[in-house]
Amino acid sequence: MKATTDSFLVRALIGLVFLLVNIVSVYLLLRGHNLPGGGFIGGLMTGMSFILLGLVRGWEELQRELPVPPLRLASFGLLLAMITGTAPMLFGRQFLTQYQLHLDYVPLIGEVHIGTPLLFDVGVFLLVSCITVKLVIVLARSTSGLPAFTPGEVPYYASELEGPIEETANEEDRHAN
Amino acid sequence: MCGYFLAAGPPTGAWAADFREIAMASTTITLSLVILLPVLAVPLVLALASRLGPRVGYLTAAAPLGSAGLLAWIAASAGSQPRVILEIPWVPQLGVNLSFLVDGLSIFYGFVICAIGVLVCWYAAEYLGRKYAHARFYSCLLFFMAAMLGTVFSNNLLLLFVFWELTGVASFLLIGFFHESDESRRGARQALLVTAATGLCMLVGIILLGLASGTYSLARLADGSLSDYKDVGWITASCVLLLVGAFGKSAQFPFQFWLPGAMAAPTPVSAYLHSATMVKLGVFLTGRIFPIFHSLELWFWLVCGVGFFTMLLGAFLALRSNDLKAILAYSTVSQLGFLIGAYGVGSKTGIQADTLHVLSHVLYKGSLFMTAGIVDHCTGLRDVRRLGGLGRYMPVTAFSAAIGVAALAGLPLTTGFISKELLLADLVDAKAWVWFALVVISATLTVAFAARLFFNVFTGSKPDALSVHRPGWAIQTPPLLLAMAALILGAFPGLLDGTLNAIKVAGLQEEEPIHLALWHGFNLEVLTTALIILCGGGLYLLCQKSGWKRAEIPGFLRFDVAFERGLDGLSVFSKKLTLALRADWPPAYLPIVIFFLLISLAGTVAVSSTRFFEGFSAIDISLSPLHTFVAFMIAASLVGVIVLRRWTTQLIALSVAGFFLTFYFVLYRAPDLAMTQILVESASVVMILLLLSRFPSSQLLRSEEKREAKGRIFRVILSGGVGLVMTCLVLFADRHSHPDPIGPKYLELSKPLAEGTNAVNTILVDFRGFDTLGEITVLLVATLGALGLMMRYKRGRAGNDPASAPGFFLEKKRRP
Amino acid sequence: MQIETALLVGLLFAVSVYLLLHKSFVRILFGFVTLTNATNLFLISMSGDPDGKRAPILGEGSGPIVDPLPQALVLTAIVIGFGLTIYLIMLLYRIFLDAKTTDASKLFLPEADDE
Repeated sequence: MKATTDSFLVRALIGLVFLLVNIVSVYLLLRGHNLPGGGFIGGLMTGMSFILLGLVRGWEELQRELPVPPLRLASFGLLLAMITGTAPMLFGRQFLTQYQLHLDYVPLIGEVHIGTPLLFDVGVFLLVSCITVKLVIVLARSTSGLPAFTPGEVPYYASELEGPIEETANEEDRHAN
Repeated sequence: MCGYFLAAGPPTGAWAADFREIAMASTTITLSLVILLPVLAVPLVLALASRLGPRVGYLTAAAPLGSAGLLAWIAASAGSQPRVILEIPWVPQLGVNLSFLVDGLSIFYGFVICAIGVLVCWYAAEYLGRKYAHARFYSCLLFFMAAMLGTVFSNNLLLLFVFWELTGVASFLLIGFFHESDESRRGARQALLVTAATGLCMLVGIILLGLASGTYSLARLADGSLSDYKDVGWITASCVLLLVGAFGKSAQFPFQFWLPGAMAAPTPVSAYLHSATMVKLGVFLTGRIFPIFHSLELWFWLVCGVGFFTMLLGAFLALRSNDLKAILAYSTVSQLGFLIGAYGVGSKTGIQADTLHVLSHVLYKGSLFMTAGIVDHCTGLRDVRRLGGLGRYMPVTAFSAAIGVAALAGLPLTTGFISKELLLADLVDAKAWVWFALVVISATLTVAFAARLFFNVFTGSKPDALSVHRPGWAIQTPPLLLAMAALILGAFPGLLDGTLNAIKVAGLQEEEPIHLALWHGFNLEVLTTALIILCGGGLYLLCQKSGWKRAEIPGFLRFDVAFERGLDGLSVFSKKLTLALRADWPPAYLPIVIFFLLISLAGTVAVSSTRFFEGFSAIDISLSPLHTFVAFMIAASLVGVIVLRRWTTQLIALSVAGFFLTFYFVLYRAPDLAMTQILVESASVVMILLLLSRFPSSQLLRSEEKREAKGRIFRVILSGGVGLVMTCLVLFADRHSHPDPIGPKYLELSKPLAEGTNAVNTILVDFRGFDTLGEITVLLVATLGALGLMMRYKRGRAGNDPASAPGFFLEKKRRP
Repeated sequence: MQIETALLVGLLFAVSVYLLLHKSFVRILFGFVTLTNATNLFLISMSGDPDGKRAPILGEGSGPIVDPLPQALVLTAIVIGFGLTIYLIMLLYRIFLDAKTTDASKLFLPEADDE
């Protein structure tokens, strides 16, 4: 599916939209412990922002411009959540014991309340957003006739004996034509 | 972290007790460090592997060296014949603690693991070429070391099992190190399946033993006596099962076949895992459970029978192999039989010098494997028939090999001689003439193939086709060190007396002190040894004359082939069964599944109908306009999904339903849910659009129109039934809610305990954070699975038989 | 409002099963999505009649609060359902590329009508 648009206005605005959506999603993540929001919601929203970006600018460009491989970041998120959970055990506390840091006054922000649950939620956020991005990129690449993985990625997802599935897609196209 | 101990002597006075407590706490920490040090070194190795290349092996050697140092401290502070139990609470409710037993046996094995570990890392640093994945290799090796150390120090049998299986996993990874080669994968799979399956038998044995005796602690089990336990039948069963685990790990008959297959691993791994340490775990376990079970009649027959028969079988197979490493592997099988069999002939008070046997084998077999690796490295060949005359090119290696095979053959002045003399003396004492004969025959065979190992590789003339490069000093030193140890300790066995007596374990070894000597006078054992050497030499000459024509393993002894065939047969059978049941075809099985689901649900309702419908008359049927409107909108769009003809409009209807569901969540006072739902809905729509854009429109239309008309009534009945049952369930749940639900408690505790005001979020990240952790793991796994679907096996690589093709259910049935 | 929910849950389940029993991939996929929604709604209905209660955010107003536990469970259920839906999408795509059909009844059968 070629989803890119030629509209100048949309292309110009998408950056702004992306920024705004992500500000909201980070805000939702941070306030999640006390008000509606949290890692799942924030993560999905960030994932959606990337989908929007991909729809407008094209999936390939999106993938090229990602600074970190999404799955690596997703695994890091899982690791972060696990570490947050297991760290208290090193101090003889129970699994997932939480710690809180309360600062009465921080310049510009005011009262700040940070706890380990937030770290846990950040892990969830990273994982959810990154797998959404990865899955949509792979499916979009594959359905638009490109190989699902870039040559550099293939060794991470497949063995020597495996090849891309898109060969058949092309054969099928040739059949149709 | 707290440590306490149950020691041999009662502490005197309060001050002494305090002091002991402190000393024990520090010992606990030190022992944890001993076990964890290799794992802690992994990140360092990973980080530096690419920079250091092969030399990272020297860095790796620091971990076992450190462990050995700490272990020495523990051993020194524990004194002679120690017996200390260290506990770290883990799941105290279940009686499962991280309980470690520091005694002679574990300290001995700990030192063997660390010392050989250092030498193997050194050797590997020289052996492995540049192109190896060093980071992966050394991390697996370190992981293995930690698992091994954990196994030998475990006091709790369940903990021992966990570490035991971890060593199996590490061994799997290391055997399959060259995972691109078929042979490696097969060897790794065989090793894993055999050791894991026998390991599971062992777990059953452990649990039986735990249930019968009421404890999983090895120390407490060794202290008790069998008559205290509930049922001797169960004890016997658990003894057999535990021994099956030990036999599997130590490649005893009938599991002997996995060890030669494991030789596909790089040689340092073979030297370390598959001769010096991991396969010794069976021996170790047999020693550990000796005090528990040795009074059983069965013990003698099972342990001696399997052990000595394997010794003969292994020697026979080694004589008929040609690959250098295969010969060594079968000889390891044979010697492990010897080591295990030795536990069978002990008297009621204990056995003698088992640690000496193990030490001797570790020294010469480690050295032999390393020399075999050097030969392989320098010539590129491992086939004995094509080697010869290498002594001139690598005199040092030849010297190490000479001592190694001398010890293997049990020639005087080596540890092998001392160890075999002691065993023969034991057998004579026990008047076990059958076992005596088995041992003598296998020792004779061993002399023959040992001679072949040395003379046909290092002496004679070099075949012309063989190209040799000289090995460097660094690679030749580790085997030389091991060989020198075998020689010196063999020549002056008195040196070992002190150590062997200090590491005695009460209940396992006899109490009277050991005095080793080279010459015990002119007795039956010496005569037998002379006879063995003579006959073995004769056999070697005989075979040499006939040119080793019979050097092929007979078909009925190729257990590995039979195993592979059985495994393939199992997979073919299951695929055929699956195909025959049509379990691959949703149109056939889905209605059946739903039908039976409906039957069981409706049946439950019918059986408990009075209770189920009780209170239904009191249901509040007043409708509120807003809710009804939203519900109606959802219902209408769902009907649209069914009725509309084009997939585009269907998708729109589906999304409308999803978005109205968001409103419904709002009505349920669930703002978090509403936000999640709306985002998921949007992302799903994008993904579905991507998929449907690929489907050919012709196929979409055709399947809509023709095929679906058939069986509509059946579908309507099934789905209507499911809908009705679910409606009843909701109403039932509403009428019969739990009197004391847990939700409000979370609500109450949300602020004081979790420091958050959004109760949904505090439940997610705090109260039930473990669930959430599991759920995000599931998400990641599902993602990896989905990404895996984007690659497929290349066509033409698999066979033509659909049942043996890699994809399970996607193969089309071929026309006959 | 439990009676509406009960009826709606019943309808959602009925529609999803009806769609799942079809042979077209599209309908199966839509059936699966509906099934996810049906299950989520079924679970949230366990929190009881929400009328006159507040959302489970403490410190805002007073009065009874709905049970937060089903909400937390459903929240993860939605996200897991999302993951599984994507998995199904990828699976159907893969099967489509392998078998070149979007009709489940044509899968795994002898290739009689393929050529």
